[in-house]
Amino acid sequence: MRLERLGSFHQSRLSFMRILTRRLARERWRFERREFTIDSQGVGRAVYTLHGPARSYSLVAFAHDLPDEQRSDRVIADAWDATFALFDGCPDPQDLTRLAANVPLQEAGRISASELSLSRANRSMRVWEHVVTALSRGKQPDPGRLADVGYLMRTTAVYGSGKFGAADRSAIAERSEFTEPFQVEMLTVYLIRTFVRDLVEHIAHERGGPEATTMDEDIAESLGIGNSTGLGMAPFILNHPTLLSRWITAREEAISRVRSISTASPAALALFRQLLQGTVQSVAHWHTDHATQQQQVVELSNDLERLGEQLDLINKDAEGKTLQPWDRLYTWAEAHLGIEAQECLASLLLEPYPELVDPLCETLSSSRSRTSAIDGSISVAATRDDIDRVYAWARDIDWTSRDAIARVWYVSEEKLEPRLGERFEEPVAEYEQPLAPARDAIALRRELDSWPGEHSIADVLAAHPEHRHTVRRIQLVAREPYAEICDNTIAAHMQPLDMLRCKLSFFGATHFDPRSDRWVRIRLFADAPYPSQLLDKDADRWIYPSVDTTQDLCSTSAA
Amino acid sequence: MDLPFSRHDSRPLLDVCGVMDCSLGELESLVRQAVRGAGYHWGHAEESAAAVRWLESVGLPGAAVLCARLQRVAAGVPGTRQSCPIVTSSLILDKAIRLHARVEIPRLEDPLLLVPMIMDLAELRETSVSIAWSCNGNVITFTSTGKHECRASTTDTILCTTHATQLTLTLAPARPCERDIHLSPHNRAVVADQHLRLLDQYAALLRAPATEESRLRGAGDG
Repeated sequence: MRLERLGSFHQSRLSFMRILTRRLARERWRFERREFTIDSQGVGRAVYTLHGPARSYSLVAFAHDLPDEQRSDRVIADAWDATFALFDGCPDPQDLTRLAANVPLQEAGRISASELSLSRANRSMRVWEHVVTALSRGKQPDPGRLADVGYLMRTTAVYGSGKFGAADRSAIAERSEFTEPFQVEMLTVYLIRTFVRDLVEHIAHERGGPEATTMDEDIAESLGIGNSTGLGMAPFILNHPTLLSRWITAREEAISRVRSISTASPAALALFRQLLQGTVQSVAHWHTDHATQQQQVVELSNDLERLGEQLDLINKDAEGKTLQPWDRLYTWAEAHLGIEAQECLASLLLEPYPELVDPLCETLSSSRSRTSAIDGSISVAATRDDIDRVYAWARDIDWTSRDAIARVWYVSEEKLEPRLGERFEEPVAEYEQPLAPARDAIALRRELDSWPGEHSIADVLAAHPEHRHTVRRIQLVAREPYAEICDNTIAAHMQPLDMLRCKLSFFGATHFDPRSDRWVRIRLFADAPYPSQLLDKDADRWIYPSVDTTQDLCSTSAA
Repeated sequence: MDLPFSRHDSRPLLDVCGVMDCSLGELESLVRQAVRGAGYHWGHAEESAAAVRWLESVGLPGAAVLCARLQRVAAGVPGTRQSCPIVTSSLILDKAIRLHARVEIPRLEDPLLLVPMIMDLAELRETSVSIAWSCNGNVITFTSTGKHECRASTTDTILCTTHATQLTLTLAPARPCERDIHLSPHNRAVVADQHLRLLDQYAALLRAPATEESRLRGAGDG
């Protein structure tokens, strides 16, 4: 549970994007474009609806004519190329009027219990005009140029779970389609991708008239939706320890199940090899200017080649029925490959075994609220033991050193979202949010040294209520195997990017492109089938576009 | 001061008659920051937020009562901190398993904020828990039989009364009075604008003014 490892995670079968597309295909959700009233300047409204077995959901999209100089990915921006809400059902004219008055304002507007998410996106300046121009002249855009970017629009926020008046997660959590985490947000982005394709083709048509053409299917499918993610998302995995534990537990259990397989069938080995090759190709298109990430990508690329060579040995052994081939491969990787490749392998191992892995998707959610009651009857001695066990790694840190407490998580008045400040360089300490659990746990541990072990923690809290939030957290994380990050979240050299990547990998994001040490661009749904193609194309392993994954999955089962 | 609920002229359609239809999550989040901003410890802020969320979800004026409380705390009204329902709730819950069947509290301010605690207490002790207090000659009672169920003798504005005396907490199997009102949780809260603004003012005390340096460290243009 070190940040460096969490920050090396890759998408997998457990990723929320893939859970969504598998469900949409399995349940044969029907797609409908109910409205597309957009003018030649690209201004107007569109409504896209997906009809499921029990309910329908509609993306209401507003397209705007945004001057270039106003285009910004910053959360404090107040204008965007397109704004969206995911509506619960099919909106009537009154709903659309209400949404038109509010959704384009984003945080400055207000949505209701009928909406499940609020989001916005900006065009990619690098390729939008290129695509419009090419299509308007009846030509296809340059695939190489598109591959470098990977999307035509990039979302800068996708708010769900009650934000700005939207329905609470608890209000919809019982619906089967939202059992797994972040399905609302994933559905929103998935429909945005369809809208963006339609929008670019529409504008090209308006400009080029009869000469204009539409995008080739292959090009359109290769495009995802970009996403800019900054520090606002980083504290999520600190603020939701139970949920984090569920995610990591499911992942570890899935890896464990596959590593326990005694022999791998030839079909499973063949599929794994195919997907490994597909990953090698995908990594070759992973472009970033971030020096550290560049180095990691190069190392990953080399490591994947070595992994392929090692697989040959496993393959030979497999013919001789070697026991636990995946375990052997993983053990070898731990000793010989970098952390990026180890985590990439961990994700790849799961691919041939949907029957072992996919049922774990149901365990990814948690209904536990953030504020559970403290058990005041627990003794001081037991609390000491919990701290010593969960935060053993933190006891050796010198918490009086400036480096150990260099950072402060705070909320800025301007942004209303978390930021990371420098404790000894900015006047931000007095605004600190409780996002340094290890420091706080060690402070409590020190206090407990002066209390008799048989006393209850209630006695301590009566005298020291400043430790209440820490005691609550300790009681929670002590019961969960993977609830606490084993790193100092306010250290001078802490990389917030690692926190972002951990969460984004569970989303299913690819092509992490850090733009600094605290914000990153990613791709979502690149190479996924569009809603109208879900029944005809692979709705699961589309993440490996160069691989034919349509073979019979049953044949990959363990021998 | 820049208020998230009032900073824009184009007021949302849902804002009618000076009230706002809120998600419970955003209300809880706002209250947590507000209570901390008013000077309470984080643990108490978390518990107050959960308490106001529950009260508002069953249609009781949790936000209004909390606002009155924070104002008195900020004004330094004598005795306010000593008879605080937020602190008292945590003290009672922390001692849940050692509580006698009957606990008496001579006086307390803003007793409504004590009520959500009886839900947890009923769960922990696996018995019915009642809280009753006197106010202007009336006796107000809330009873939880566990399983997140709660009944009230009244949902009248008298619940907003600041001072209560002779509070009695009873932990014993009980049959709620048939006239009691069953409190059913809803998924939304309707909160007065003025209370949201006030909560935001306290929450804003926790928000740092932006500096050019902090802006430069944030996400850049795309």
